[in-house]
Amino acid sequence: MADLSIELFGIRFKNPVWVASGTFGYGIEATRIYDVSKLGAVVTKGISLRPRPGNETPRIIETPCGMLNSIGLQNPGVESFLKELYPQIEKIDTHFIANVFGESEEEYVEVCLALESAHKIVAYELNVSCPNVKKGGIVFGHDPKVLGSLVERIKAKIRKPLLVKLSPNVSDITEFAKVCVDSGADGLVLINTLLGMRINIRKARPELSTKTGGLSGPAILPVAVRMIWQTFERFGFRIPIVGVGGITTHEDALEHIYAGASAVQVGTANFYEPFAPLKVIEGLREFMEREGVESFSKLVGKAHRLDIKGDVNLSQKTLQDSFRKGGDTECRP
Amino acid sequence: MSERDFRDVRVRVAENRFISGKLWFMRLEPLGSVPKPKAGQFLMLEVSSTYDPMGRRAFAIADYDDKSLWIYYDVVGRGTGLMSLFREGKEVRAFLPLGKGLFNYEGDRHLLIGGGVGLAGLTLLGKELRTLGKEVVFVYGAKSKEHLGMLEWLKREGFEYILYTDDGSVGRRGYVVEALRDFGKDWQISACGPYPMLKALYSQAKKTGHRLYLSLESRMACGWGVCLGCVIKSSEGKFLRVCYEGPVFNAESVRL
Ligand SMILES: Cc1cc2nc3c(=O)[nH]c(=O)nc-3n(C[C@H](O)[C@H](O)[C@H](O)COP(=O)(O)OP(=O)(O)OC[C@H]3O[C@@H](n4cnc5c(N)ncnc54)[C@H](O)[C@@H]3O)c2cc1C
Ligand SMILES: Cc1cc2nc3c(=O)[nH]c(=O)nc-3n(C[C@H](O)[C@H](O)[C@H](O)COP(=O)(O)O)c2cc1C
Ligand code: FES
Repeated sequence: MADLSIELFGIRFKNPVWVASGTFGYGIEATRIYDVSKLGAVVTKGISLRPRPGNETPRIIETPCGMLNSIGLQNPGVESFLKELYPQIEKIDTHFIANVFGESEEEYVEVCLALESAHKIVAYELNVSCPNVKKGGIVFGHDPKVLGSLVERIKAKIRKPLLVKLSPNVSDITEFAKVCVDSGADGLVLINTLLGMRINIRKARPELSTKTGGLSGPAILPVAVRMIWQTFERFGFRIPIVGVGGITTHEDALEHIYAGASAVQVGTANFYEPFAPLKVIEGLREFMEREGVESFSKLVGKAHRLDIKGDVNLSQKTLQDSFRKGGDTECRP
Repeated sequence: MSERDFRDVRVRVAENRFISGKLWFMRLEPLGSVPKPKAGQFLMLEVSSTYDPMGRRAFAIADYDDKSLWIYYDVVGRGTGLMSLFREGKEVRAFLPLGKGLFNYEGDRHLLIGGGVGLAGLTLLGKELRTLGKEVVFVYGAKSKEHLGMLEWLKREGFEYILYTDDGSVGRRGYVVEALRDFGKDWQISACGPYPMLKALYSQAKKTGHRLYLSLESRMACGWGVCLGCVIKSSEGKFLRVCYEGPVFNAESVRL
């Protein structure tokens, strides 16, 4: 069987397929669907210092090939997470990564510190798409200086690896990747949701209670792939990239991986294809076996190596699959 | 760990038939094993094999037989429009059985109030209560006669029922909420339907002192508790997931 295991920032993962923050709860509900320990890792719903009720409804609305959400980072706070939810995830045999956010640098640090001794949590993923209250509401992830200072400050206090999940709502994502590299981040996660809006024309009102929301789903796949590509082009293997955005199938995952992602996360697909993450794992495994790829790392960033003519040797089955994807019948796995 | 009770199964369309108004009926044959659905539970149905529309659509499991699950659906938008085009033999996927369906089974007399297709959220409850030997009366209301298409089910099952229409085209002219006046406090009320109807029932039940349970709807992306899109406020002001903590709630425990 093809070996899908990977090592990133000193941690061994069963496979490179994780589930994205906010699309999988804390992994507990999913135990009613399948064996969650098959996943490479579970990224938790965002955790903050204090409990947050979240936004008023409507919080979601469908869009062409995607959806908008404005959940408002509803979560019970780090203390209750540790007391009530953590004991339940301890039984699940895979790594957990805590998605962390705050309204000030101190809040981020405090949440991470509270999680330092929770051994199931192997790393932190910083969500920097929220406003820094102290700096007049400027979004952490929208100002390179503010972001650099946050990463440095947290890095100095914690032992576990620190991943930074970048906002795509910026003009040059590589500038933000650069401050993360310079401030000692251990990995980058690309991308969070794209800011969007829909209006209900019958009511002549915004569809969401917060008016705007984050776009996710298949519609954003090309944006994620582009941003991973640009970041990999600039930094190569200097910092591992975790790809997220629009992945439903292993073919989608391969686009992220060929663009430079060392691991991927399945997000919105969990909603309409509950088994999507397992299918991506199986699909990648079969692909590697069929194509005789002995190690997953050979695939990472492959599209950048223009000297390699990858397609000429692809097996008949893989070629048929890629036709099917563009065909008119079943696009879903 | 816990039981794997949420199943994503392929289902074959065994029947898909227009009834009247906006209402359709579909029978779905699961091609794998599914746990026996309980009253108040629902399924998430794949409506397109492409990503547009992307999300699955929620439908109450209205009834079932040895081979198939039954749903009644109103065609109101793109997803349900596509469903009305499903031919017999088509295979899609259904994720089920979802939701807790914690209805009230106490007391001996039960009034089940359905507004439009909302009746589909109460039909299994009616059967379960009858099996327990309780007295069951359905109250079924809609705009007009052609929107009472689930009458065929009530008649076939032989339940006692009272009809209401806004225009008086059949049954009593008026709103289902008026039925509370005709039934004493010893009648337990369960209801499912549009929000304005549930709100009216809630304030009426407060006056009359009836115990009221509601099966709610809300916009759902996942149906299994992970997106936090479907929430409603509890009476203490905390958000509850309609798909996971509900969709059935004691009316006292939520803010409509
Ligand atoms: C637990 C639950 C059980 C349900 N059971 C049934 C049932 O048995 N029969 C039935 O006909 N319908 C039922 N519904 C409603 C059904 O899910 C929606 O009508 C359907 O999703 C609309 O899809 P669409 O693509 O046709 O409409 P869209 O184009 O998505 O929307 C058209 C209209 O429907 C409204 N709508 C969209 N989604 C929902 C939703 N989830 N709930 C309520 N309104 C919605 C929109 O606000 C809009 O006004 C249920 C909903 C839930 C949450
Ligand atoms: C309902 C919902 C909630 C989300 N919550 C979070 C969150 O708490 N923290 C975070 O960093 N990202 C959150 N995200 C973003 C996803 O993790 C992911 O980056 C994004 O949806 C793009 O991937 P996708 O297209 O595969 O969904 C959320 C996304 C959705 C749809
Ligand atoms: S629909 Fe996703 S949490 Fe209820």
